[in-house]
Amino acid sequence: MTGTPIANEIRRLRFEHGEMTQQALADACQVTRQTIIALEAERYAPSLELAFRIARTFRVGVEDVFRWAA
Amino acid sequence: MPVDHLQADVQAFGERYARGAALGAAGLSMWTLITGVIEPSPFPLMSVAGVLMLSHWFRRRALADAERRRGVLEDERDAVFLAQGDRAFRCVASAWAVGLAVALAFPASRTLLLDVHLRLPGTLLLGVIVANLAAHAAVALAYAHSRR
Repeated sequence: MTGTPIANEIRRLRFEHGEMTQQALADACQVTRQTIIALEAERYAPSLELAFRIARTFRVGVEDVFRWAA
Repeated sequence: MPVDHLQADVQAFGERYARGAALGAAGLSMWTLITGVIEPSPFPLMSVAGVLMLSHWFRRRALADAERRRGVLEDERDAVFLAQGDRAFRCVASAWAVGLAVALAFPASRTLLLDVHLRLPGTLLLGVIVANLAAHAAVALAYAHSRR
């Protein structure tokens, strides 16, 4: 579970969206705050569904949030 | 930048429950060892079986209560950890069953298991509890490992 080749821009996007809190993003995506914490630390690769939920919350494409970093 | 990401060591419901349940299973296994294997008696064995049957309901109830107070508490990431616990349960339960089969194949250990009434059911039940203990410990460890 530790380390994933999928990098993300969640922290930056939260900041750009009115300093959205991790809890607010978690609520919007119907996941726990622990999952947002793990995603930001790049310790967890989300399911496709969650990736789309996050991208939709920020009104961007999935590829604008996640990228293959290996 | 919101500072809440600094509080990265927040324990999830699943982790707290797994730790508590592992402690409970450890206590229950000691109790079963005494009342189900060393000196087997029917009523303590029945009570242990009852607790085991209700254990799944305990978790669902605790989760429902916590969710009523604090909203969504489990998601796909928790499901991954729970799956690791399920794997640990299957491994330990299988190993216990194989061990018991081997023990029954040899006269000396067979006599030990079958000489005392209810010792064999007690040993089987102890195996299920030990497998539960392994499952809860695996879940708690998976959560702890993911926070490193």
